[in-house]
Amino acid sequence: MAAEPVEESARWQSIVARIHAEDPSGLESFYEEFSPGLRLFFRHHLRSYEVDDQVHDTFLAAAAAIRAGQVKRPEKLPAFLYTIAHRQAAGCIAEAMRRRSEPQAPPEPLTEPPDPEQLAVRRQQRRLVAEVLGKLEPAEREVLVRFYVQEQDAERICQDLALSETQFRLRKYRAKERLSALLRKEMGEERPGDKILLRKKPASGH
Amino acid sequence: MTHAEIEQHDLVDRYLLRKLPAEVEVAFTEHYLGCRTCVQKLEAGRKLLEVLENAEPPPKPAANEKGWVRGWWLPQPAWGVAAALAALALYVNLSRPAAPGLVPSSGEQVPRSGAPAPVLELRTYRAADEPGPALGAAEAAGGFWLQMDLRALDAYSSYAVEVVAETGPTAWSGRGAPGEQRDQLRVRVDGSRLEPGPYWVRLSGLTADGSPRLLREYALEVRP
Repeated sequence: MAAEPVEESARWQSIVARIHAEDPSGLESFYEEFSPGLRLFFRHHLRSYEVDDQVHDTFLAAAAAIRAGQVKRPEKLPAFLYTIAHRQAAGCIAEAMRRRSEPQAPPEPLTEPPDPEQLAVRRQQRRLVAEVLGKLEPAEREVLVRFYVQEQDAERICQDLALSETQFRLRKYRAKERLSALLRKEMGEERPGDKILLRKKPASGH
Repeated sequence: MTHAEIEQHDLVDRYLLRKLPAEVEVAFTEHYLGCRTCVQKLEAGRKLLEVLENAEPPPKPAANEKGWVRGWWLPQPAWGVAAALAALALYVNLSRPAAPGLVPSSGEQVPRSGAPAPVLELRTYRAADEPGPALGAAEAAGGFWLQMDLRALDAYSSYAVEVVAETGPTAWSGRGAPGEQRDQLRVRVDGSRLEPGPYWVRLSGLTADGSPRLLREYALEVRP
């Protein structure tokens, strides 16, 4: 693992110094730099309605620790933030499990069941994706389906399809690019999946 | 961690599919938290994954995985398309195991694999005299789900699962995170390397530094 580039280290050090000095621009930069990554982290581990609260709580806890001078190596700010975020996520999971284990516990918030309109949209999405996948080269399609849908290991795919690791990565990359291009063409959108995802009914909760 | 390493080891896709070893996942997370390039790639990958989840095919014919992959995309007669769409609609309502720990951002449990793989609920601990659940070697080879109850255990955001032969060697290992309800862990096992015989399934919680803490051992049997 290489050390962080100097430019990044300097940015982290500047953020820590400004927060420590109660300069409001420090918190702004802190949020701007790390909120996309933190949102992604919590979305990967928690339910969608928990993400905003956890991001907010993580920033609060991290800023408090910085102000208290607990960050000894500002150049390692992302690692420090990860420690707090991981603890937040683990606490959230533990709390949800504790609530569920209580016999009289109130029911946890649930995502609304899909309504008929949603089901129809989803059927349409499935058909569209199937059509687009059908336009890929068979070899590319097979790599995508095996890796992403069937979740087969790269090692097994390479073995079955007689591909080297490099050939596999190249084929997967090309297949993704082709799929993205076809989706853009079919839906006239800028980024793959955006329109499909936007057509989903937003999850309930905050 | 450099972007060359991230590309070389396919970390973005493997992270999204929850296939990174614990220590690599920690290092990669620490990197992407402060890296806009990687966050953008992860977001794009997540969207692509959701698109591909929408390509859920009907159950594959038994013992013909390649045929299923190729066959599903072949042109269908009109009635076949209607039947396939009806089957897909049914899929939406079917309660199927999700991928290891996958909690889609929509909050819904979206089935991730086309194969109607068997689900083995593990209840029998290693110390117990009772035999564990069993499945045939051919069935195991097609892949199956292991389901474990987490309610009485310490909570972790992710878990390691190992299927270990009684003689010692690890036959399969993988990772997963609790599902939507947080009280269960389901992992899909590629059982193609499981020979008939008794096995132990080791469930460990993964700590912040990625080290496993053994929580429980279950019995499992693969029959000839």
